[in-house]
Amino acid sequence: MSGATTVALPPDIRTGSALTTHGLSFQHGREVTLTYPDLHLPAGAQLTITGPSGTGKTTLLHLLAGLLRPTTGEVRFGPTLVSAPQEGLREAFRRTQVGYVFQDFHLMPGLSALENVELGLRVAGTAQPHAKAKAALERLDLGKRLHHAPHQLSTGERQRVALARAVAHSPGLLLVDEPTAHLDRSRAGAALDLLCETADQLGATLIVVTHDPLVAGAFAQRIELGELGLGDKQ
Amino acid sequence: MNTSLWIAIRALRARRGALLLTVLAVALATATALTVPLVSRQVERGAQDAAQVFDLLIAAPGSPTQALTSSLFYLDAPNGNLPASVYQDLKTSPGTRRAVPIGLGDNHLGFPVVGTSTAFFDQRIKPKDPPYFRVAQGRIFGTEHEVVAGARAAREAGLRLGTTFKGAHGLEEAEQHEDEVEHEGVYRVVGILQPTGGPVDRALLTPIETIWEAHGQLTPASQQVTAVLYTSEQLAGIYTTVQRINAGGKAMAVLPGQVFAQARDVLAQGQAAYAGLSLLVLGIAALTVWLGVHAATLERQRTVALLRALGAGRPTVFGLVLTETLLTVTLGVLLGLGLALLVSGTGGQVLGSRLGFVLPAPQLTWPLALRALALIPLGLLAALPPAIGAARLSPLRYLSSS
Repeated sequence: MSGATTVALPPDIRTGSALTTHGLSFQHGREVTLTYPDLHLPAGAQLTITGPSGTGKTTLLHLLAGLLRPTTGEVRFGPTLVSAPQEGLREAFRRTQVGYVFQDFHLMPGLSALENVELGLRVAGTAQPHAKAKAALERLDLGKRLHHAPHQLSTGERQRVALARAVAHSPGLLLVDEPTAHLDRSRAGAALDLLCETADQLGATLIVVTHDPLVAGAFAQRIELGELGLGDKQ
Repeated sequence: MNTSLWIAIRALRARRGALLLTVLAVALATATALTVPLVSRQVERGAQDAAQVFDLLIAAPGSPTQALTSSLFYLDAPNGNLPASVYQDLKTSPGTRRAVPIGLGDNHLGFPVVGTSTAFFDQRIKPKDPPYFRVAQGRIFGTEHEVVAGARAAREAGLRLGTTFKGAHGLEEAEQHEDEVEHEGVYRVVGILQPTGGPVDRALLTPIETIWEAHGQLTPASQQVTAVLYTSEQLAGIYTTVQRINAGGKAMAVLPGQVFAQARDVLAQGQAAYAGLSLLVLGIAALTVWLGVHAATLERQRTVALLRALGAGRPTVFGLVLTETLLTVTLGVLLGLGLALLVSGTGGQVLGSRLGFVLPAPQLTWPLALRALALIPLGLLAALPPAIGAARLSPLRYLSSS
């Protein structure tokens, strides 16, 4: 199956890289094949992918991040073929170009907030990782929680640490999975604002996966995935 | 700092309880494997040091080892006595640099009274070296019943210059004082030796004539010595003397080096068994490392999955597992080496004090250290399967989402 819909956003007004997908599908086991709409997102675009559970939203994020290789089609971020078969190339892409905020944050429990952010910078091979990690946390108002372990932080704080880790190395593509899953309504709005502002400051393309209609409604650009990933432009 | 090392240090810090147990297991195994060989070598070196001022020990026929432990270390009953004429012959033989008589049989508060001659104080390691036994206070003995006390004997028996005491029969202090037979003659301390760290520190040196008098050996024909410490003018003289003495049948010539070599051979058999046991202990330590590595697998897989998702390559996560193990085992081995040196140093002091000579500081040799260091490649070998597993792990395996 091929992509049923093409999602095109307004022309790029930034200097970053465009994200494009073409004919993207991913086979889960023998029976299920997820098919995704083609995307063309200019640098700095902000998009939400929504839809009920099981429609392949997170799988699409994984394909865009180079964590999975598509069964058919390709993903490009600027000149980089993200769907390339070479694992090293995809790893380098994730290290340098991708900031990923996991639904469950996936902070290392034995590390402090500062070390969790520094870890990402070290993997990315960034110079002065300690100072940059500190700066990233201070920008997200966590200057006083640098040395706290994840279990000593509130859910919102943990999410901000995960966001700091995702953006500290200034990625061009920020991928966020269910950012409000662990937050109440009052905090969810603030979290979304923070995500959009941070992506804006970086000039990064922001893609947020959510099943929450409130979050989806906050984005001007969105696609809604239906059964087996087939998407509708909105 | 290398990323793998940076993460490994923090991952180990997060599992410090388990880390401590593994490090302790490795350290104790290392110390167990090394302490006995270290102490054995200390004893060997200490014993050899004590025998370096003469070439040959001439004693009554019997066990060479017993002759050495009795006449040199004052730790055992002698094989028997020699006619004093053997000593006289050796003394006047051509090629003799020095012949020192040793007469045992009495003690004072457990410290052996050793009958000898003034030649005892002329013994040297090399001909041009200064005398090995030097008087710290007073002078060397001049007449019968005068005593030069070894440093430890003087200190522990409370002997000072001018102190007098009566010698008791026997090589060691009698347990039942009422049965102890005291000689009538009174000894008077006229000198105290500088400490040497050797068995002479425990000795109370007196002219051999005093011993003869105390034991009623008043005629030359009845006079006896326990042993003679013989030093030749030339190396060749040692072997001709050995042949001459041993051919005579009345006495036995003992080369201390040979006795030490035989003792080493006997010890080696025990040590071989101990080495086997040590290997078993080291094997258990390696198993502990293996268990430690595998016990942390689930937690590590989450870390590895995250690192892979962040873009860390397979070599980085492979290196992480090996680095964690390398740090753990190295810490354990280093702690074990320190522990082995500490225990053998302390144990050596206690043992030396019992044996009557100072044991030198424990000396860690490469072959010994390698026994413990072998744990490092063993540990790395144990870490290899989980390291390969980490390198193969899908980044998405433990990062579940909706």
